Amino acid sequence: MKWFVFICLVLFFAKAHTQNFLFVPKFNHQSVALDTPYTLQKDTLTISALKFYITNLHYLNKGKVVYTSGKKAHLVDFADSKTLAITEKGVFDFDAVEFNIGVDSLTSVSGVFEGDLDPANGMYWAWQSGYINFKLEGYATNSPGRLNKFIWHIGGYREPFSALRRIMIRCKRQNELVVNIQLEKLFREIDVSKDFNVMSPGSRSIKIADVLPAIFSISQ
Amino acid sequence: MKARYFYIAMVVALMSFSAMRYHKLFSPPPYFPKPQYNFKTNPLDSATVELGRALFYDPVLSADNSISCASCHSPYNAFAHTDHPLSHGIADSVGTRNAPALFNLAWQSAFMWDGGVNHLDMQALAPISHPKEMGSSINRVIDKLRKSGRYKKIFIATYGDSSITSSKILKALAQFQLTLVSAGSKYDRVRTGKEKFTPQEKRGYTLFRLNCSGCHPEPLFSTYAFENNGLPAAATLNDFGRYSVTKRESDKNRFKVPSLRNLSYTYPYMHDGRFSTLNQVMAHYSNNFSGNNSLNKFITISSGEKVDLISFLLTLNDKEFVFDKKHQFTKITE
Repeated sequence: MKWFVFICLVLFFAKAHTQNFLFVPKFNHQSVALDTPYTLQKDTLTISALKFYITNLHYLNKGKVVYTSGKKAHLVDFADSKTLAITEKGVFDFDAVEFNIGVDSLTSVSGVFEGDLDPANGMYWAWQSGYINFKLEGYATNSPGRLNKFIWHIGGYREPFSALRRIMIRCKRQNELVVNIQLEKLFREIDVSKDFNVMSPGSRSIKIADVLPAIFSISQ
Repeated sequence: MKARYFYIAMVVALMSFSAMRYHKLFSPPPYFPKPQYNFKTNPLDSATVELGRALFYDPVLSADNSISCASCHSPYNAFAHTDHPLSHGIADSVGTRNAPALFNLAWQSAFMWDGGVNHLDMQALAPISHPKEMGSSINRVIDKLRKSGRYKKIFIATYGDSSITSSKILKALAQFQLTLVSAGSKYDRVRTGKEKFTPQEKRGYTLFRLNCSGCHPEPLFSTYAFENNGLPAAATLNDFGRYSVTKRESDKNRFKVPSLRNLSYTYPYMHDGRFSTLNQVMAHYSNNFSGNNSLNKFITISSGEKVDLISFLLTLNDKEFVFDKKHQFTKITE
């Protein structure tokens, strides 16, 4: 019994000393699994890939940065459960988080990196250098693409087509912050029957990038 | 106190040693400007350059092991593709552009005819992945190299461990290409006082400074900016150059200004290789060009002056560079 209490205490403190930032994709209030059909309005949607960069994650308290994530760039890939959380060691008070969706222009022009920014991760454009900030692929009955496929590769760092978006979300301090990615909002704003293939920087990429900040929310 | 001086002396000695090493692999003449490439993020090292050289000449980079970088960038053509207006990749696929010559890359910050690639480290990803060039992907290249006992040994020798990553491959390729410095032409020897121009070359030099040096300034003979030289877009290619990157109307038909060094080795000329001789190029600039372009005037020179100008341009041929064994294929011993 003594040992059990001790282990529980150790576990409790171990947990209390880490700060987790966990991403969960949703359709309305339902969690989304890959390769599973969901009905949304009059469309049936299946997500086959969802990958995006979260960079320069800051925790703020009363408008001041209290903690900067040790990992400058984090690639979230829903096909790889190890990538779904950004974990920080340490305890700090905060009332908001701030982060980029995508890779900033300086990093985009600074050559090759390893790890999450490795161009072998399938998030890099070879013929028009730059990172894909946000990649969403799947099938929608309304998509005129081949086999009803839609492909959204959103990125580009050159003005006027810079697709990087920075957002701030107010939240209460919790050891595990669950960040919902409300995909239904994207399909409400973007007509998949028109924009079903977006794979280069430009105005259509910007149109989707402009919706991205609104799809991230924190549930408490 | 003495020990302190000793340490300072050691540090100075080490620093000069590393500077020497840098110079051994990359030693542009003093009249070259400061390079654009940031060597701090990828410091040159003999073993890495050698790995880059091995990769440059190895068709393992292509899907069917048939095409290497050197297939379209041959050392004997100043790393261009002589005789092919448009280059061809795997399965005899013909692309849409003339393979540019590769030299003095450290002074460039945008690559490809449209500048679509923003860093030398990232350049190789483009031909590796293009379906008409190498038709492969960096991941397939990594897989193939990991299965190769030869490369495992080279990677251990170069990096001290056998892990093969895209970063190591791309940086090694960049290092080899950074060592491709062309600065050994007659022009360079005249510049350093070792030789003299003939009267005809001298006349050509004056004409060059008057008519060409705006876009092709010495000593690199290019601004490496994007200009529209009045060539109408080829109907079958639909290539609008810089426009495809920036989507700006004013960038339509702008292509990267090539260097005028090594012209005898790099024909045919222009982004689509439409001119096979320098006389045709001269004809274009003196009477043929059309429409919107960044040139503000025709070059009005007599046919005699054209001959003079060409004789100057030929002093930019760098035989020393083209036949330099350091840059050629080498069989890496097992």
